[in-house]
Amino acid sequence: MFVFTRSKTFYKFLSFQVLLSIPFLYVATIDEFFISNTLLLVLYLVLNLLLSLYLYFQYVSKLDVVIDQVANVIAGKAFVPINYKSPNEFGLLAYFFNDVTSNLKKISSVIKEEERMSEELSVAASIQRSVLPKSIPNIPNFDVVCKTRPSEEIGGDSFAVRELNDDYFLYIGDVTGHGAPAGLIMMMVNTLFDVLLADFPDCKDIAVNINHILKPRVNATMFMTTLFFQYNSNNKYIEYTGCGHEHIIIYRADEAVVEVIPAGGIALAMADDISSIVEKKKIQLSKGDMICLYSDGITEAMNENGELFGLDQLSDLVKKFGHLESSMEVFSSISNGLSKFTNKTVQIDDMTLIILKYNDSLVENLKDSQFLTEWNVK
Amino acid sequence: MSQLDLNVLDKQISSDPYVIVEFKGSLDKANIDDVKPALTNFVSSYTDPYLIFDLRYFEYVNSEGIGFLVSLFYALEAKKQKLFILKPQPQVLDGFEAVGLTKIIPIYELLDEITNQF
Repeated sequence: MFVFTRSKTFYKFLSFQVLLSIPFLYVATIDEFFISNTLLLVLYLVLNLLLSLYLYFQYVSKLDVVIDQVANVIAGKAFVPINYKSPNEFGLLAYFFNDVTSNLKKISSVIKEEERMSEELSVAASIQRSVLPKSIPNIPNFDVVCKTRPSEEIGGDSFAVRELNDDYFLYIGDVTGHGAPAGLIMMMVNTLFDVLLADFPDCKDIAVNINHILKPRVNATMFMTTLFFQYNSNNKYIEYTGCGHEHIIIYRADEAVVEVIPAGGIALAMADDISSIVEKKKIQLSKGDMICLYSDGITEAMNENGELFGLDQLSDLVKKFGHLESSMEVFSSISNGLSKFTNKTVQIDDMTLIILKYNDSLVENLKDSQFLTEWNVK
Repeated sequence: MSQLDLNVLDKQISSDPYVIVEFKGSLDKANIDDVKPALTNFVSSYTDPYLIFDLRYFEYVNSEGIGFLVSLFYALEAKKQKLFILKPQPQVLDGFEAVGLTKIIPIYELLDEITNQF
């Protein structure tokens, strides 16, 4: 350590060594030799002591300070900057230590902030999951499966099923993008759906009035595509109002064919007043017919070659498995088909899939909340 | 990696009350954050009464991209200016129609159909 300092101190030390050697060259007699040598020895020891003290305070103590602080950093204990300003190696070492630890503090604060945000996102995700249906009311004549799978902690897809008097209402929605901003809008719409339904028990009216409240409250770049359904068990049809959502895929059991209907209308929050744009329409149903609703996270899912899953492949799966007895079987078959296509490709958008099988008889729907909302694509 | 080239075409006649911006490529999650500042600044400083987005070479837009176009439409409308969309490719038009964009932003196949309205 000493040799490498290259400071003036090094040359001072060499001078001391030379000076200590000179007296030994001039001793004349044995007595003089002993006396001189004893004195010189004492002098030598004193000088060495002084030299040691000098070396300790000049170098070792400073090195101890650096080592102590480095040990504190390694042990995760509190550390302080080293205040050496000398233009030598110790000054350089202190500067290096202070710079590194300063950056460490910054990185540490960023990590802590990210941890805090991650915890908050987990809380938000938990709150969002809690607004999804705990159970689906038994819709007479329908076997229903609804599942959603966000691509991040918080998703922009949502759905709800509500019973009001003799009518049953269902909606599926997909907010532009995904993540926290989409999640906030999804929560707003989900809440508005619950709050406004009693006053506007009609699939078109609920769409128009949710939009009326939503539009002035969201950024112009954000919107939510939605499909609202309304069903009364006295009828053999289902009514719907499309708000710019994905197509409705219908499996017709009698002929084993698939119909693909554009949802129509305009997405929520895209225009101030949508009352003249959206419409209430009917879908006639026969026993065994099935309705498939989905979000664009499914049709825009990609495989390893960057190819989209697409509406055609989804329709083909609906046609292939639409005859299966239960909605859960149809859901699982479509989910497996999607998994085979995407393989190990990372999911980039929220995915929601709803299967409504019209069976012309009362069907017990699933009630396990985890089972309802958790969609594990293999 | 998606790419979008924006090309502001020169006016044929300097007194034309519009400018055409040509879109080439795609607009989606991958590049929207890069495209937003340039296009937003262009629209905010735009002064002519009409703006035309020529989408004949525009291949793909996702819902975020559509949302961004809607925000530009409203930014222009707030300044009493009007946005037109010219000649989108079928797959892009399908996307616009699906979410209802065509209900608020007029879409035309020919430039004359737009300019005849001025």
